Amino acid sequence: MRVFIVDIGIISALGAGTENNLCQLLAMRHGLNGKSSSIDPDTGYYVGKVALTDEELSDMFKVRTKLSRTSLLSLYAVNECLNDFCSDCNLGFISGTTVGGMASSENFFRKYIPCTENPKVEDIIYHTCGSATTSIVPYLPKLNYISTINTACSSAANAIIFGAQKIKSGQLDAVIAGGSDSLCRFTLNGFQSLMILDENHCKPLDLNRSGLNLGEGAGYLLLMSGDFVEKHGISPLCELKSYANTNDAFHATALSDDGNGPYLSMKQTLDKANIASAEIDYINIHGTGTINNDLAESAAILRVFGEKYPSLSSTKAYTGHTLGASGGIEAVFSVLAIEEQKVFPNLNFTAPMPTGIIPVLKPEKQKIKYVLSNSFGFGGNCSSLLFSKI
Amino acid sequence: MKHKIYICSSSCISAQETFANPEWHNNLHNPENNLYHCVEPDYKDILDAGVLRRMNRVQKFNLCAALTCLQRVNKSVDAIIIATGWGCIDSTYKFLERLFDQKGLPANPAAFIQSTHNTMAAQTAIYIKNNAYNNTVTDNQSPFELALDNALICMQDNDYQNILVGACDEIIPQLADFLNKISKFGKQEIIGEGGTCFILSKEKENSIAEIKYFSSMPVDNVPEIINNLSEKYSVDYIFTAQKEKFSTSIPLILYTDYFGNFPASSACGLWLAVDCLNSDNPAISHAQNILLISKNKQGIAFITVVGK
Repeated sequence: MRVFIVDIGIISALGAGTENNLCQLLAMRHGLNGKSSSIDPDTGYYVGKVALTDEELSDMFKVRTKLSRTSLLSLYAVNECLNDFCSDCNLGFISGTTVGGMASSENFFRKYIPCTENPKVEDIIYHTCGSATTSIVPYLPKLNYISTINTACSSAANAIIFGAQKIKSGQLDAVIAGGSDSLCRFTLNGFQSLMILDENHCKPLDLNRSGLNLGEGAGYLLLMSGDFVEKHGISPLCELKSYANTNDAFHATALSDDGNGPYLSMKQTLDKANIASAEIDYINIHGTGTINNDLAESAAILRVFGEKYPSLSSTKAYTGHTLGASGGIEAVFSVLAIEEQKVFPNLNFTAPMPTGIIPVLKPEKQKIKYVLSNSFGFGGNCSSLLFSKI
Repeated sequence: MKHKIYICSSSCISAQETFANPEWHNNLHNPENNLYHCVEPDYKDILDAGVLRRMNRVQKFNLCAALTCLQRVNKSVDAIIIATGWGCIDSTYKFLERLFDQKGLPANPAAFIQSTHNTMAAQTAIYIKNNAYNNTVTDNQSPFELALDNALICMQDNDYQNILVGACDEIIPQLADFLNKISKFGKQEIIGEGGTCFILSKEKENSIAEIKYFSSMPVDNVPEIINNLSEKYSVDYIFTAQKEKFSTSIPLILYTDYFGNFPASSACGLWLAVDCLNSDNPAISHAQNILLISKNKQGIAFITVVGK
């Protein structure tokens, strides 16, 4: 059974909706205009904040309760990728997230922990990662399957992989798959304590890169089975040709120097589809801008592709690292690269690392049939997705 | 299901002596103040000291159950899929405490690293050096069924022969306090915790049970489907978390009486079912086929039939 991408939905620091995101990418304009001090007064990092407030997002969808920001971002992007067929098919919703309702829960804990004020139950009721998904179910068409995946920064990619597996098994006609995460003090302080945040705008793949910038957002794909697409005469945007989920099995917060997990996820993705490495036209790399990730990822790219590696870029400097949402947001960018036949340039690159990898630096029109998208996370969770022009 | 799927190993750390005592049912533990805490093994005998020092409790439940399962069968696994509802709530709370206790102490990176759900499946992979498919699945009511479904979907593919699947949750005083508060107008539930793992296999040899049926369905269809399945598989017992409204002549067992209520509790329910198929539990005797029900608040139910 083939799996097609029929629609896409996105909200990020670049803007709300596919058009806004595409327009910014093509103009090489990044969205890291926020400072983290608005979320945590003790920090002052560059962050990729979504401009819409919780109130604006709630009003947009006539939300009756106080949903977490992760859920509201999710609702926006999911809503954008729904179509008329969704209410008439055997539909599933599989979403990735790492912090769930943490942005709201922090309002609860700020009062609960020092016992200064009475905390509000409404701030914590949607705390869990599962609730980030289930709390928006009342605003969606009838769903026959709902699941949440948390594999850290590869959560959305694994949600897409599992969505495709459900469709291939014949159990579902269509799946809304992707991920969502909001900025919060928890992750800002967590990444700060690990000393992997860049105080300035991040520089993925650059020799002098010094860390990542956090972002928030959501990105989803509407996946549909080949049978359903054919039966209803739907013209899909592209095909999800292959994927692989692997584990680096090395360290809780670092990838192995030779990038074994990333190597396996890319290699298995190509092998399963029986596609030669030379056929790949563009890689949307994970490329966070940390010393470790970019080194391991480029080592793995050289192992898979050799010196003649395809056009590649990281889009993290546009959106910030949106953690559990990043695989969804970058899956949307991969679909857009196929639609536009363009590679989105890597920002802030001046000098290559010792691995010699040089990303695409100018907007280039090029023939694109196959796009590979990488997502790697803490715990060694590595996943790759392969999109194909139809 | 396209292939016959067998359970060839199971391990459970729970409020009962399920981990180490085959006669656990002869020495039942009772909850204290509405709480069931795990009877924990001496982890030093099972886990490497360096790893043990870094891990939080729920990770220990999970890794310990996982390793025990693996040792019993001596098989390598083609996927590791673990479920959790509450996640690493202790590490999460410890990290939040530093953020909000107003003592000005620096954030604790260890608690941050240990706070994410995916440490469950990922740390197991790191510990046993396993590069295969690795997922951590979560849900408030049926996380284990979603992990089991993920495993069974993988099993449809020829590449997968053996899969480690499990579910775990831990309780901390602050969470128990909160759950008691929000349920004060409803029925007071016994809250629990636990970690359970299974190895699923396509090979029948040395198996301890067979998964004869597994499916998700709308909750409204449950009574009719149970009627059909009960006859088809000669079901002896039905295991549930809560009392059910539908009428049936088959004895109903509330596994939560033994383990308490928590998102991952149904994995303990399946462990109990497999145990009853292979031992002489006087309370659940002569079991040949057991049906398990799990429901979520979105109107989706999961039914599993496990038999000899």
